[in-house]
Amino acid sequence: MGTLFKIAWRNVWRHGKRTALTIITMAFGLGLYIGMDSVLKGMDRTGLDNIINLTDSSVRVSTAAYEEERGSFPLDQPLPDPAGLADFIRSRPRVLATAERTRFVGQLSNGIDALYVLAVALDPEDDARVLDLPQYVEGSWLAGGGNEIVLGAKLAADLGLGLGDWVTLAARTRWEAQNADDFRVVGLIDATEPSISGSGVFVSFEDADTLLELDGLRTELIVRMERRDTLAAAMEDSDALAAAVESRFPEMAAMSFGDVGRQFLELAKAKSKSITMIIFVMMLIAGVGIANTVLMSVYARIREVGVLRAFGLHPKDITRLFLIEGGIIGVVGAAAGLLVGLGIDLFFIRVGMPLEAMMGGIDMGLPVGGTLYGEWNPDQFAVAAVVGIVVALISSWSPAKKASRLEVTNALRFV
Amino acid sequence: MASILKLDGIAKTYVKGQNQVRALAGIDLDIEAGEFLAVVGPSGSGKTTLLNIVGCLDSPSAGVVLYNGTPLGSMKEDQLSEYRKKHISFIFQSYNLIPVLTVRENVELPLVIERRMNKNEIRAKADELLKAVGLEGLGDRYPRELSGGQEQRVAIARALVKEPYIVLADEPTANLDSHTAEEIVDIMRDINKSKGATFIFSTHDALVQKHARRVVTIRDGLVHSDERK
Repeated sequence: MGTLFKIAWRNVWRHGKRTALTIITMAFGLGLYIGMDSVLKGMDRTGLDNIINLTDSSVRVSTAAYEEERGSFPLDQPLPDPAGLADFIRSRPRVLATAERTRFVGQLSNGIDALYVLAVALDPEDDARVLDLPQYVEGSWLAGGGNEIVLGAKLAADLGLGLGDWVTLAARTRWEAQNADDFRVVGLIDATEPSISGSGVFVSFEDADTLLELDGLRTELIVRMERRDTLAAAMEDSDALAAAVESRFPEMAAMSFGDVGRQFLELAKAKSKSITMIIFVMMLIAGVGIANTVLMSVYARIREVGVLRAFGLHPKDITRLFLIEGGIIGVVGAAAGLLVGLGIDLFFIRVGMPLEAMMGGIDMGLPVGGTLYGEWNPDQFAVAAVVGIVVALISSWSPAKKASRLEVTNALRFV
Repeated sequence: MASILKLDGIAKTYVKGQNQVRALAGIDLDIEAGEFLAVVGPSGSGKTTLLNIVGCLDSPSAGVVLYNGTPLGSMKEDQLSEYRKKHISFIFQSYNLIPVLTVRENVELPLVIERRMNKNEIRAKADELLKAVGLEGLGDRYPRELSGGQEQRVAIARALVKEPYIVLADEPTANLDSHTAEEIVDIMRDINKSKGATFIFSTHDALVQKHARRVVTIRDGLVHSDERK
């Protein structure tokens, strides 16, 4: 085996350019696979983090009737006992805080143009314990001065509004009457969740109670839970709490972040399938390259095969010789692929991809905004290495068998 | 002297497209151990085919080859590989050294394939043979760094390193100048005498024929003459 390996190793590097080209193809394919996986994993993580930290929290509770009509954000389906519900939830394991919210549809006007918006009424202090919105605010986060509003930065830019400007928010009250009030823009929010920057409108319950004649009604309760190391553990906690709430309050609908992000998770699964397709195509290309390299090596060394057979090397040893050559290309190509993947990962994890700058503010429908960061996924490094080596061996099999089946006399005569 | 090889009615016919080409038409030969035998004849007379059949690189269309009384025709591919590995060596016209192996590694190759000796023994044996063919000190060179004569010496060392019973050489001096050819024949003859290996070589070279102790002439696939000196 030692001499076979020696012959194989030296032959692999004897035609350095050909081998290098094959290895570069493999490295590029595997590196791209690892890098894409990192970006998509990062997108998944950021998207779910956005749900948990910026829009819906770990668990979102409303009445079942409200949940059925969620698309119209009805104000006539309030939580029957928000305080009792909150006490129950806070007594559950790993729950850190709760906050009440009321979402409503409004029309925001700068006096010239008007846009329909989905506004959120909230208690600024309670909400800040559950979601991370204040961290993304330029200006201030609803300090309680009355008639204050925080707008998504992109929405404000679309309406030509800045900090300190006044804006009119019109909405139907709980009793279906049209009402409007003027608000001073105290904060502009630019978060990694595109819907917040593009259409976020936040007012305090104090102002919303007047505008919408809420009389203290609240339609949702959101919940912050302890952060877990893995997404799976976090989802387990969230699902368990949602089940406990619905068990204790059958008239309620408790949506875990897994439920809220179902569509998102389905998308992630679809992305996972598409990346599998990508690696399949990439490896097919690399496989053809390796098969070609080994086949050319066989043709270039037909007489050598004849000599080895004449001196008593068995056909299976000839197969092994060329499989070793393919294996060497596979191992070196996989190692190079891992290095390329590591480089791409490091770039996306440390520097990230500035989506805004890259896409010039065009909405590409991505579930995240700002800078998209990659995520380590050691499993994919292992998968890439194994796939690379296995593809190399499979690709080498046919040329190797061909070499072992050569007639010795024909091989020795070959010029 | 005992017969090491007995060829009985060996015939070989190749099919090329629609045509049949008869390379050997029925060769009968008894070859004794330690012979230094030249097979001569014009191009296409069947010399190489005969050597290939004796070396189990090719099988006869008819007839039997007996090696020490054992028929080779009934052996399977793996058994033939074992036979070649243990009993036979080859010297080729174009040397056919493995270009990625050094001179020493080329000489060691048959022993490595044979797996009979350990690494140190193999190396010592290879160096001994390199010395015998006058290439002492060139073991670390690659074939591309040698002259044609030196390459053929390496091929001889490679053929003899495992101390085979039979050495088959197909036109071993055809690519060499007369001076180098004479040197190569001298080396082969010395080793034939000292090691007792049986040499069977095909040749057109009168010089080589002059040194042979038995000359078998083949014409049209048949033994035309068999002359012992």
